[in-house]
Amino acid sequence: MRFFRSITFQIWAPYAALFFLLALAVALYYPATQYELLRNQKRKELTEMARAISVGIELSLEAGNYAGLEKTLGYFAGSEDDVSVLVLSSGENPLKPEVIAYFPQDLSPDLIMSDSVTYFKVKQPFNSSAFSGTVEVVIPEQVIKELVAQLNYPVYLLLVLSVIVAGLLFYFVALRVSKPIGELTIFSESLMDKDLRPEKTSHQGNEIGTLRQSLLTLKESLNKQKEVNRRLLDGLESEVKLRTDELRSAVDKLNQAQLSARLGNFIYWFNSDQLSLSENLNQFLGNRADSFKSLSDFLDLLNSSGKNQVKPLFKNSDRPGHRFSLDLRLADEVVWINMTGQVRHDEKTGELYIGGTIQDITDRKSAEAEVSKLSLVAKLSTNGIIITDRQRRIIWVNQSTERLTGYSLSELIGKSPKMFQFAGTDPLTLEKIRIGLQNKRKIREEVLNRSKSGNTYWVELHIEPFFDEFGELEGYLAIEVDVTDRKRYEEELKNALEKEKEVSQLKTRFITMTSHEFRTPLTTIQSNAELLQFHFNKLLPDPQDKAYRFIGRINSEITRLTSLMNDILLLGRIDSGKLSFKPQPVDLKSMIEDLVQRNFVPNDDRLVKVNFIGHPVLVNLDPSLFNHVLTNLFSNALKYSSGKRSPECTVEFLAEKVLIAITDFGIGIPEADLPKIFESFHRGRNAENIQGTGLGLQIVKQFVEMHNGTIKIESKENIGTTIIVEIAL
Amino acid sequence: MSALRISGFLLFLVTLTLPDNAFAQNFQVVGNQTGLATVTRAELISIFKPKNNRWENNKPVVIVLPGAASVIRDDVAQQIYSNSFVAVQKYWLSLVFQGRFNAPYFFNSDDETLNFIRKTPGSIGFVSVSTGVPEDLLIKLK
Repeated sequence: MRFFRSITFQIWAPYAALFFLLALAVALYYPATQYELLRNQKRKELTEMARAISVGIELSLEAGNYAGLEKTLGYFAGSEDDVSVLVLSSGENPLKPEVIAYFPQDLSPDLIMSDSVTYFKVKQPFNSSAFSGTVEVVIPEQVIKELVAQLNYPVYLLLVLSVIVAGLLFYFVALRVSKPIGELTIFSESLMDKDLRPEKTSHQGNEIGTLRQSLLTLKESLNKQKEVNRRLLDGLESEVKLRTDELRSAVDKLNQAQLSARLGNFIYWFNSDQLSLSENLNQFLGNRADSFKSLSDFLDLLNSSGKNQVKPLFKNSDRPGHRFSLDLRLADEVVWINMTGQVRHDEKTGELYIGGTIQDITDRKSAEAEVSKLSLVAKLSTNGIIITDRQRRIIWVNQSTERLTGYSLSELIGKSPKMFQFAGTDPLTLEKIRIGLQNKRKIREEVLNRSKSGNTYWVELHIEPFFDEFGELEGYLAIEVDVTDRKRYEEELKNALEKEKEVSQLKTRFITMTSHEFRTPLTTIQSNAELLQFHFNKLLPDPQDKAYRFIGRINSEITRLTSLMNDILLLGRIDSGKLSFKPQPVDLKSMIEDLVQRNFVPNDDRLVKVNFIGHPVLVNLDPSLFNHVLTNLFSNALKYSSGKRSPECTVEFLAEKVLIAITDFGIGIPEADLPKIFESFHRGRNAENIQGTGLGLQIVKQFVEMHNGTIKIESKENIGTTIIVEIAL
Repeated sequence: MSALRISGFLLFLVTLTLPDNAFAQNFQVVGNQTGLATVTRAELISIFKPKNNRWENNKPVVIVLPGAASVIRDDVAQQIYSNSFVAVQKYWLSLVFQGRFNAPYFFNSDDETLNFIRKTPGSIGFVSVSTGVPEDLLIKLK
C-alpha cells in the first residue's frame, strides 16, 4: 500500500495506464479493423474467384468447352484457403436453387446454403443460353478469424511486449524522477519525526536540489530552535514537575487527611436525581460508595430517622446558598455520619446541585455518649469534682461540690479553689500541693476545708492536670472525697490504739512481773516438794502411803503451773515482739526422727510412728521454735489418744513445700470447738479431764505463721484428729 | 416431377424394349484410337457417364458431345443421359467441378466433331447418321 501512495507510482501509473489503455484500444480495435479489412479483402478475392468461375462457366457453356473452366477450377482447388465453391442453378424455384456442382466433394452444400453465419459467402451470378445460376464461393468465417488471429498475433505480442517494456521504462523514469522527491519526502518525514540530525548532501543544480537545500537550512534552524526549546522545556518540565509534585503532595495530603478524618465528598444533581460519592467514603459506607447512582441508593443506607431527615431536605432544597448539616445513623445502627452540604448553581449549565461532605462521626458520637455518661457520673458522683483552667480558675463543679462547699456553680465559676482552705490544714501539705501544681504533677493530699456556712470538713484531694493533644496544660481536675468521718474514726482509732498499746505494755509488764514473781515461789515449792520426797523416801517406805500421793499431786500441779507460766510468758513475748526468729537450714527428717524417740507422756510407752515421703531436703526453720511446734503436736497426739493405737506422722517433701501431718486416733475434737481451737485457753469440751493449758495450739499456730506456714486441723469426735502443717521450701 | 421428365422416363422404358439398332438411328458413334470397334448401349452409356479416364490402350478418354446448336444434341442427351441437353451440361459441369474426369468438348456440327476426333486420340463422340464417317472412326453399335 505504501507503494501505491508513492510518487513513483503516481508518476508512473498514469503513463503506464495510458499506454496500457492505448495498447488495449489497439488490441481491441486493430483486430476488428483487421477482420473487416481481411474480410473485405477476402470478399474481393472470393468475388474475383466467383467471377472467374462464373465467367468460366458462361464461356464453357456457351463455347461448349470446359477446358478453361477446368483449369480455373484446378487453380482455385490448389489454394489453401479452404474455399468451397457452389454452382447453383436458378432452376424453376428461385427460392430453392439447385446445386449443380460444388467442390471440394466433401462439402455439404445444403448445410452451407442454410448457414450464413459460420460461412462467409460471395455470390456471382452467371448467365448462359443453357441456364442461369449463381456461383457461390464460400469460406468458413473461422478461416477469416484464424487469418486475422495469425495476422494479429505478432501485433498482440508486440503490444504486450510494448506494454511491458513501456511500463518498465516509465517505471524507471518515474523512479528516477521521483527519487529526489522521495528523498525529500524522507527528509520531510524525518523532520516530522523530529529527526534534526545534521546531514551532508550535495546540491543538485535543479529545483529539487534547491528545495532540498532549503529544507536543510530549515532543519538547521529547527535544530537550533529545538535546542532552545529543549532548554526551555527542561526548565518548564522541572517547574511543572515541581508544581505537579507539590500539587500531588497536596492532593495526597488532602486525601490522606480526608481518609484520616474519614471524610469524603458528595454531589447531588436535582434534575437527574444523580448522586455521586467519593471513594474515600467506601471505608465506612461498606465499599458501596462508588456504586451509588441516585439519592434512593443512599437513603437505603440510613436508618428510618436518617431517611426522614434527608429525603425532605434534598427534595425541598432549591435555594442556592442553603446550607445544612445533619448527623445521621446508618441502618446498621452502629455507624454515624455527618452530612454537610450547600445548594449551589453550576456556572456552566445553570443546573442546581448540592455539594458537600460526609464524615464518619461514629467515634465522636461514641465519645459524646461516653462524655455524656461520664458527665452524668461526674454530676451524680458523691465525691466533689472541680475542673479548673490552666490558671486554676474554677470552670465547673458538680453537685456534690456544691453540697460540700455550700456554694453554687455560678458562685464558684472563675474563683480559685484556695477559697475553701482552712487554716487547720497542715502547711506542709499546702506546700506539697503548691509544688505539685507548679510541676503539673498528680497530687494526693488530705486538706481541711471550710464551707460557706463555716463548717470544716476534711477532704482527700486528688488533683490531676490534663493536657491537650499537643501536650499543653489545659487545666486541672480535682476530686474531693469527703473523709471527715474517716478522719474522726482515725482519730478515735488512734486514741484506742494508744490506749491498747498502754494496756499491752501494761500486760507485758504484768505478765513478766507476775511470771517472775510466780516462778520464784513455784521453784521454792518444787524444791521443797523434792526435799520432802527425799525425806519421805527414807522415812516412809510404803510407796502407797498417802504422803507420796500428796507429794505427787504437789509436783504435778507445780509442773502444770510452771508449764502454764511458761506458755503465758511465751505468748507475752510473742505479743510484745520480743521473741526472736532465726531461721536456718535444718534437717527436718533428723529433727523429727529424734523427737519421735522421746517419751512425751508419762506412763505412755507409745511412740509416734513416722513415715517420710519424697526426697528429704533441708528446710529453713528456727530449730528452737519448730522443735516446740513438733513437740507440742506429738505430745497432744499421744496425750489425747491414750489407750489407742500409736499416732502417726507423715512427712511429705514436695517440690515447693513440705507437709507434716500428725494423726491420732483418740478422742477427737467436737465440731463446735474446732473453729476456736487455736484461741487462747480454748480446749475441746471433751478434754476437761486431760491436763493442758489451752495455749499450746495458739503458740504452735503463731510459730508456724512466723515460718510463713499454715496449720489446719481435721477432727472427728471419738475417731481422731489430724493436724497438717505446711511449710514452704 | 415435370412432364418432360416423365416423358423421358417413359421413352427410356420404351427404348429398353427396342433393339439397339433403333437406338442408333439418329446418331452414330465415332471415335479415334479408343480400342473399340463396336460398342453396346450400356457400354456407351458407361463411357459417356465416365467411370474411367483412360481406354484400355491407356489413351485418355476425351468425350465429345454435340453442342447447343447440334441437331443431335437432344437425342444424344436423351439416349445417353436420359435427360435434357441442359441437364447434360449441368452434369458435365458438376463433373468438371469434381475434377475427376476430363472436361468434354461440345461441337455444334458434325464436321467439327469429326475434325476434332480425327485429331484427338482417345476421343469419342457422336455425329448424325447422315454424316459419312470413315471406317477407322466409326464405332458400330451392337
